[in-house]
Amino acid sequence: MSHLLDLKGIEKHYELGKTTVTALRGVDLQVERGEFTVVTGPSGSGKTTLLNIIGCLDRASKGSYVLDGVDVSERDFDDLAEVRNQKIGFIFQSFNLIPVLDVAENIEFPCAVRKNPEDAKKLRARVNALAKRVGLEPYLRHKPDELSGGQRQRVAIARALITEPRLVLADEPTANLDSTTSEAIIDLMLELNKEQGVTFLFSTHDPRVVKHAKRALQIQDGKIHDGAGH
Amino acid sequence: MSRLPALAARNVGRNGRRSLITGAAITVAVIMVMLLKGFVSGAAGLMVADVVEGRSGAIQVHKKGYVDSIESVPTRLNIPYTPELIAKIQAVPNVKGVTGRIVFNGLVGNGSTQTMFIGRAIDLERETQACPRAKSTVRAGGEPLSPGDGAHVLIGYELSESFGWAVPPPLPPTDALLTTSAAQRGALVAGSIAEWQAKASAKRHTVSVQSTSPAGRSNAIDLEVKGYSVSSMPFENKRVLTVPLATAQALIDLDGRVTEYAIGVEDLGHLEETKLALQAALGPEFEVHSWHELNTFVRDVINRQNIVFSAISMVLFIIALTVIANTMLMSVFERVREIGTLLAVGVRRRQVLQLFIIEAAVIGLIGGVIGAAVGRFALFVIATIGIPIEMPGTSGHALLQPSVTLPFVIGAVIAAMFGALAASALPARRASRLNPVDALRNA
Ligand SMILES: Nc1ncnc2c1ncn2[C@@H]1O[C@H](COP(=O)(O)OP(=O)(O)OP(=O)(O)O)[C@@H](O)[C@H]1O
Ligand SMILES: [Mg+2]
Repeated sequence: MSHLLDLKGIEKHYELGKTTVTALRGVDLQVERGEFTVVTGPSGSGKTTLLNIIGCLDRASKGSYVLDGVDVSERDFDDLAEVRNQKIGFIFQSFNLIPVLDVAENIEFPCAVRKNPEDAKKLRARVNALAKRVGLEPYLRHKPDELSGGQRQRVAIARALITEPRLVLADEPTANLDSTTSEAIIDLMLELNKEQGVTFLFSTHDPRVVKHAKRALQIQDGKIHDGAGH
Repeated sequence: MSRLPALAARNVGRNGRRSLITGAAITVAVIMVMLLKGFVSGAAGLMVADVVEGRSGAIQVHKKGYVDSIESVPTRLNIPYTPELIAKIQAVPNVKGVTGRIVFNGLVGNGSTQTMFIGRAIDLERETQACPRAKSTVRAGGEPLSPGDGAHVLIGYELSESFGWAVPPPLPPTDALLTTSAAQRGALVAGSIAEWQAKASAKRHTVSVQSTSPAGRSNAIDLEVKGYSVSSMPFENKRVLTVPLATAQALIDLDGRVTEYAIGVEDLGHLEETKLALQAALGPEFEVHSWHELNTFVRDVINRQNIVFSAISMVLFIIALTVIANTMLMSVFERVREIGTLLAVGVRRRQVLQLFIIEAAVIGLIGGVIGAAVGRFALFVIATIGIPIEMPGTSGHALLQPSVTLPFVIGAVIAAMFGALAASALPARRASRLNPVDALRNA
C-alpha cells in the first residue's frame, strides 16, 4: 500500500511586490499510517506553511502531493472541501471553536455540515463517547467561553476525531497552554494515536513535547531534516 | 447544510447590540414607511370622500360625447330624467343612490357687477342619496338648499366676497381645535358662527342669473342667496352657483331633462364592474365615467402624493440597507478566523455565503415584524384619536384617520426581509471568498 502522505519537491513562494519570499524549497516527505510525527524548527522556518499544504488549505507553488492515494496537488480549494472534511482533522493553536455552539455541537460540527449527515442519534452517541474519552462528559452543554484552555483544546481534539479522519494536523496545539496542560494534551493525543491508529502530524516549538514524539522532523530554511524521535 | 440555518439564527443573538442596531434600523424604516403610507392614504381617502360623497358621486352618466366637450358646458347634450331611467340605474348591483343634475353657465350679477358662472342644478330630493355629504359643504353663516326651495341659490364664498358682501368669519385657530376635546371644538365653532350671524345683516342678498337655453333663447331670473358654498377646489369657490334642479330646468328650457346622473355606490372597490354594468344597462347613447376619470385633478394629486411617498420610502429603505450592509461587514471582519475554521473543516464557500445571508434575513424578518406591529399599533392609536385637518376651502372639520391595508403591511415585512438579504450579499460574498490560510492566521 502507498504512503498516507507523499510529498515530492514541494516548494512554496510568496510574491510580495517585487520580492519573492520562499517558505519551502523542495520538501520531500513520506508519512505512514499510524505515525505520530512532530515538525520543529525556528520561527519562520515554514512549519505552518507545510501543514497548510498538507491540510489542503493552501497549494504548493511546485511539487506533487498525494494524500491517501489521491493526487491533491492540482485541485482547487473548494473542490477539496470533501477531502478535508473526510480525511483530515484540524487542531489549531488558538482552538478555534465556534462560540455560539456548545461543546457537543462543536464536536459534531464537521459531521453535521455534511451534505448527507448521518442519523442525529447515532452521531450524538459517537459525540458522547468521544467526549467521555477526552474527559469532557460533564461539559457537553457548556459554551466554549465557559471552558479552560486545556478543556477547549480537548473539544478541538474531539472535533478533529469525530469524522474518523486518516490524519490529524495540529499546528502548535500547545502554544497557548501551560506546561502541565500541554503534557496532558500531548499524552491524550499519544493515547488516541495508539488506541485508534490515527496518524498525527503536528508542529511545535516546545522541546518537552518533542521528546514524546516517535518521529521528529526539523525544518530549516524551508528544507526538511528527518531526525529520529523516541 | 442541515446545521447552518440554526447556526445562522444563533449568530443573530451573538453580538446582541449589533443585531439590535441592524434590527432597529429596519424596524424604524418599516414604522416610518407605514406611518407615511397611512397618512398619505388617509389624506387620499379624505380627498376621494370629499369628491365622491360631496361632489361628483362615484360614477356619472352623460349623453354620449358629453365628456369630450365638457369644457363648453354643452347643455344641448341632455338626457331624460325619468323614474324609469332612475329605476334602471338603481337596479344595477352596488348602486346606492342616483340623482340628476344640470350643469350650465351664464352671467351672475348683484346689480352693479356681473361675472361668469358655472351653475350646478341639483335635485334636492335625491342629491344626498348619491352624494351623502353634499350638504355639509356650505359655509357657516348660511344654509344649504333644502327640498322645497325654488328661487334660491348657493354661491361660492369667494364669489360673494367679490360682490363685496360680508364674509363668514375665520374658524377658531387650528391649534385650539387640535388641543381641545370634540365637545369644546364644537362649542368653539358654534361660537364663531353665532358671532358672525349676529354681525351679518338679517336680510338675504339677491343675485340676478342669466343663461341661454340649448335652443339659444336667453333668459334671466332673480334668486335669493341662501348660503355660501365651499369646495376643496378654489375654482368652485370663485365661479360656482348651486340652484334647485327645477329652477335651472325653467331657466334654460330643460323640463324633465338633466345633463348628468350622479351615482353613489356601496363599495368603491368594485367601481369598474359597476361602471361596466351601468354602461351595459343603459346602452350606447349614454356614456358612463368613474370619479377619477372626471376629477383628473384629484387623481393627479393622489398620484403625486404616491410618487413622493415612494421616493421617501426608497430613501428610508436605502438608509436601512446601508446600516445592514455596514454591520454585516463588521461582523464578517470579526469572524474571520471562525470563517477560516469553517472552511478548514469542509464547509463550502457557498454555505458560508448562505450563513451570512440567512443571518441578515432573520434580522430583517424580526425587525420587519416588530416594525409592522408597532406601526400598526401606532396607526390604530392615531386613527382612533383622529387628526383634525383643514382641507383647503372646506369647513375644516375633516378628521384624518391614517390607515394601511394588511397586504401593504405584509409587503413591508417581506421588503424588509429581502432588503436585509440583499444588503448582506456583498459582506457575505466577502466572507465566502476569504483565503482560509490568511483567515486562520488572523489572531
Ligand atoms: N501570506 C504570506 N505572505 C508572505 N510571506 C509569508 C506568508 N505566510 C508565510 N510567509 C513567510 O513564509 C515563511 C514561513 O512562514 P510560516 O508561518 O510557515 O513559519 P512557521 O515556521 O510556522 O513560523 P512560526 O513558528 O512563527 O509559526 C516566513 O518567512 C513567513 O514570513
Ligand atoms: Mg506557524
